[in-house]
Amino acid sequence: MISALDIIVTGLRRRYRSIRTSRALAAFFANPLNVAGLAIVATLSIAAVLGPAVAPFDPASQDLANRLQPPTLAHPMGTDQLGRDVFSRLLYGARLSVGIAVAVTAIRLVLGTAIGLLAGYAGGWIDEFLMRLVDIQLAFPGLVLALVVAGILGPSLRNVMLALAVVGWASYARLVRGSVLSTKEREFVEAARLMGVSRVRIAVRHLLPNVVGPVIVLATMNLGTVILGTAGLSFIGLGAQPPTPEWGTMLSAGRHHLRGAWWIANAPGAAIMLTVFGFNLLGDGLRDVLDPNHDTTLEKPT
Amino acid sequence: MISYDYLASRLATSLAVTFGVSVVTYGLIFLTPGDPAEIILSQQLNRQPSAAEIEAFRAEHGLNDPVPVQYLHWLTDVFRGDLGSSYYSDTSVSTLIVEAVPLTLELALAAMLVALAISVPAGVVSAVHRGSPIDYASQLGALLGVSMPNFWLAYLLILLFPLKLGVLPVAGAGSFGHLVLPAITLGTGMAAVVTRLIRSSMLEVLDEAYVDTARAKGLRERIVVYKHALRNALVPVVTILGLQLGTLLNGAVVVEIIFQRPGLGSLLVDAVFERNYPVVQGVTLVTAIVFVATNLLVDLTYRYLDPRVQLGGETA
Amino acid sequence: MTEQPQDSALLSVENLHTRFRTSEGPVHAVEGVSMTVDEGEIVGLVGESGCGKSVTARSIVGLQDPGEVVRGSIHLDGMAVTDATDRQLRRLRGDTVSMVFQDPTETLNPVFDVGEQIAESLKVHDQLDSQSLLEYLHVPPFSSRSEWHEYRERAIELMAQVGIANPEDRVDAYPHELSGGQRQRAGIAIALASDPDLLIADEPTTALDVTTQAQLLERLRRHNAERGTAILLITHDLGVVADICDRVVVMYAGEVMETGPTERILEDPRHPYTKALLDCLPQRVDRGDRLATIEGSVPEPTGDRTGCPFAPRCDQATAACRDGEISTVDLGDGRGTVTCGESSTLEAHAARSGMAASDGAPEPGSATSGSAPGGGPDRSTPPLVELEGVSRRYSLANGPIERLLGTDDTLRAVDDVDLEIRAGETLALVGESGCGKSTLASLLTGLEAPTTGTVRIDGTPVGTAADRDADTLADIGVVFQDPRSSLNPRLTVEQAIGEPLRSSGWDRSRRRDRVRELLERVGLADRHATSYPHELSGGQVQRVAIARAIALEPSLVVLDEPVSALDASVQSRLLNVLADLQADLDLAYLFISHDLTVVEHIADRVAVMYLGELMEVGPADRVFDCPTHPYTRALLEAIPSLDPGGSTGTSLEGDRPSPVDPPSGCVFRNRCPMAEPKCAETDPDQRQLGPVRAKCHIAPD
Repeated sequence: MISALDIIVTGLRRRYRSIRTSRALAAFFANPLNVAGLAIVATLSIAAVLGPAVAPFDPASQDLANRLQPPTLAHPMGTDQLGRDVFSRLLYGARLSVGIAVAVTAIRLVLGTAIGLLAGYAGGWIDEFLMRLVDIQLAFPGLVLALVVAGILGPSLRNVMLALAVVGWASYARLVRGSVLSTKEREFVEAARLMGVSRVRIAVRHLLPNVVGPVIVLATMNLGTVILGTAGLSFIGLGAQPPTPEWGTMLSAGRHHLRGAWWIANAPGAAIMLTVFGFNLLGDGLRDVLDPNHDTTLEKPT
Repeated sequence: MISYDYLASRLATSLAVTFGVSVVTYGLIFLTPGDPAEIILSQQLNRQPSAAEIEAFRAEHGLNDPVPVQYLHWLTDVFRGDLGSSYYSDTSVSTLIVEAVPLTLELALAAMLVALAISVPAGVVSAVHRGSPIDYASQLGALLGVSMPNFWLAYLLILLFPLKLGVLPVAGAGSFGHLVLPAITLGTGMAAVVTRLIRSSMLEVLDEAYVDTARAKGLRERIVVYKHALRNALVPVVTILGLQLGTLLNGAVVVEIIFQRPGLGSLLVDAVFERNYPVVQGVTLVTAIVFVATNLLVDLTYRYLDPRVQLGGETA
Repeated sequence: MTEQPQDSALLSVENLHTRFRTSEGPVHAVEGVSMTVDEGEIVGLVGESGCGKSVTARSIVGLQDPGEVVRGSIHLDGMAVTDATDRQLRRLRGDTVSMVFQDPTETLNPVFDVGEQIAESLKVHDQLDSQSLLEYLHVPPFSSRSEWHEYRERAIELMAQVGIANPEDRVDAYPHELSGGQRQRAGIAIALASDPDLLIADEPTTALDVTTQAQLLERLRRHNAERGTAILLITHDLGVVADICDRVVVMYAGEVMETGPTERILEDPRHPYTKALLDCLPQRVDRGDRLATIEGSVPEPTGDRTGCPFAPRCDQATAACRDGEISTVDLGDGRGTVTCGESSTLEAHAARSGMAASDGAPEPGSATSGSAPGGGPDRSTPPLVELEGVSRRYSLANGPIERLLGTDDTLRAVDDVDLEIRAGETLALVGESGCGKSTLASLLTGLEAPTTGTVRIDGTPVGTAADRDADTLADIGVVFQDPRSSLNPRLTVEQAIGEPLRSSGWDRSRRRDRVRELLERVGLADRHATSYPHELSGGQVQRVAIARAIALEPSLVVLDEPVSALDASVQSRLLNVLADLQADLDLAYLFISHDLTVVEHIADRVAVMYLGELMEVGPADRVFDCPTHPYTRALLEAIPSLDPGGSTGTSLEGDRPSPVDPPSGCVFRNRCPMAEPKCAETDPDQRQLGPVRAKCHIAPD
């Protein structure tokens, strides 16, 4: 038991050292854009966790006397057509958006990575079959298929999640399969084969670590895409239904008050954009750090 | 010199994918919670249909047959160009689609133009002046563009032009003016994606040794950049443009709804809400097939953009 | 404009400093280089990788970007390059100076055909100041078709001049359709299109085969003689320098160490670095003797160093060398200059005297196993590895349709090879790139399965690696060419070396002990066990790969170009390590290399491959001293000799045929200077001629 713990500890220490010595962390924090991305995502996560606790108003409580109020100290983002506090609704919406994004991305990632690993490692007809499945999924423009699936299942947030999950896994499968195939051809994998290292160990020790980096980058970017997709479907009316404080639904409701009460539509609009922006910044930064090709250029300036 | 085997296998996979697409499209109907016939009828009649009415509907639409038989019926019809007819009117689905396509096509092309007009100069300038304020501005702009929900951008544009400045129509279709705002909405999002793509592609190419060869000849920097570098940088971009068609169609759905353009997107969304399955299936099938065909075409023209690509490749 | 430099040199570089900004502080690539090139002169700029020779060359044509020239001046034909406007720079490049770059696979634009790229260069030279983008993009109203056509015609002439066969056909070829040698010729044609006064060639032949190199060097020499074009040749290969240069400039860590006429530098080097560099070369040492080495490593180019950059590695260094200002001394009589603080270097001595390598004098008994050269290993024991009639073919057809249409070309990577390796011997497998030597190694190790023929290990036929049992796998160790890609970047040295041990069931503490022992054997310290590959130098990483290969005590190690990615000084250290290991562990080596000077130093027996076939096998001294096969002879003649003035003999004409469509009869006959009609008719058999087996009709008995 103790020796197992020992192995884990030394393993972690080694991992930590590899991060430190690769200068990856320093490189990441050297770029202010990366830091900005991290800050936005951190703020959003805090809002998602603490939002309901710190929100000044109940997101559903109507106050018809104070409807369509422009931003004031009491209502920093004004009130909507039913007198609800827009800021509080945004905070509640953050939890929804982040929750859905994480859940959908997790499903996509697990499904896609498993399929990609299998296809790349097994090869042959299994690969052929799985890749045709990927092609079929990619043949449908993502949002169009999600829209149809969600529409047929019936408008609800849960169905939007399902619909988005089934349309996004293919890119993971492709990415993972590609990295597995290219890593398989590298000399250190050939060397391992010649040293009699087992197939399972080659997969775990040599192939998987080289796949993880790009997958993390894709997943980070994907969190933003899923938030956009959820908001889009809700905006069309297929996702969250009023009075749920979902950002897309809120934006859609605000469209009738564009001229008079611009804040109703623009506050959730800006929130969506900022959130997606944060994930994209973070993903860009992670790509620079986790992309192995980039790592080699870091190494020697010739 | 395109390899016949490559061509054959590429065609075969495209056919297989199209077949798979048709199965998925047809299968969509079975996602309906409950009995499709009952749900459709209750929506059509706006009341609970009687058992006899449901039975009649089932018989009329062949819903009593085993699923594979239903699918085969549908598929043979599709092969004859018959996508069925709308539940709510007798108009055939193909007619509906043919009426809607020009509006969507017009929008997609206009958006593509907007996107290229912005992204090519932005991407090139950004890469050439790497690390300069221009580069940062363009990178930031592109990233904001990628992050921008197009339904919000549409509102901002409506707020600014028709509402504040009183120019350009809010919604509708038919004139050039009606096309401007939708094309900008859809085009800027795509421009952002393509700008990033061109920038990174250009950066890679500008590091290539042949760019230095061109400089060492004594060529002007403009010719080095726009002849030697850009030509190479565009090769990967063109393939991605094919894939971007999907993004464009995604965006078109939302944009058409906001600007009330009766294109494919509006047709699809309305049909989804009405559970008008023949229309949903028709539009889905057509978009997917167009997408598959476009990518096949892009793949095959790749050879002409990059002479190195021996399609199918030699394994030397 | 700065004033004219003192003499009328075509190129004069004065105290040049070029620096790169990186995220980890500035990199001082060039630190005060001064040199000149006179009209019509061929000057070699020599140094190991990273010494700043390429950056110096690029600074001369103003292509140092993203680096910047921070100090010093460059005058080209009287014009100050560092102060030149874009327009002046373009004039210089289009008129006065041209550049040929190293890797011909990357220096030609892949999307334009060769004719276009040469024509462009001609046009630039003719119309330097009227370059319109639309004209160069061939947009009809702005660009004249007939004019471009004329330039293309002239491009064909130029292609013929640089030795491209069938230029009328090749002018429409895209770069990827040409062989490496043809591509580099096209690169030279682009450079010569402007009829420059100075041609800068940055390692122009490094990526090419030795026979192609000999052809290209001959072209350059002839061009220099006929047109009086001065050439600045950047290279790491002193053989190339000896072959064609009038004068040499030796660089180390961004500074010039020594300059002088080629003959003087090679015969009587004064600077300790130059001496050490020359001593590292295998051709200067007798077979089986230890090579001299330079201990330590090149200092980091951070710019905060004082004194002589070589001082830390120099065993004659004094305190003044480390701290003081080192002056450059002119040796007078046109014998060049030396930048060294140790006055004894200014006295003449013979090239090979003194300069004991810090590695120590040759120890008795540490020579390679062939203590009696030519005697070879004991022939009474059965061979360790036997290849019998082994062939490997690849089908180039993409699928059934092409097979049906009859376009299913096969590439014969290895064709009917018989070869055996005995315990304890070093068998070198030599040949030019693409001759099938690496494929042969893969067949032996089991990475690939032969199409026909048998591979036997210890007398037992074996299959691919997947079919071999653990003992058979353990019996052969493998070291790949590129050490970096053969080690997983995410594993520490200890994990990497321990991997084969782990898979044969060693426990942790045994593994640890064994790894320590192996590290010591290959000359690495204990502390390296926890390093990651990227923290080590190229030579150290290759040592790790060797340690891993010998971890399970194999009887044979396959070494695929183990030293060709390394600098001369690092290479010599590694060759010594290999020799020690062989002596201590009684290893047999299959040593694959294209570098015949290294092979001559290390091999007991040599096998020469051409186009997948074995042309000649025999004891090393016999093959090198008295080659039997005409191809072997051509290969040996193509090696640039270190004797200055001793120009290479005849070099092979033409390019190697494609292995998809080999000539009838003997595969070498269309390039063979001695070919007879029967060579085209029948494929020669392997013949035993004394100690040598050769595949030739006409080789004398």
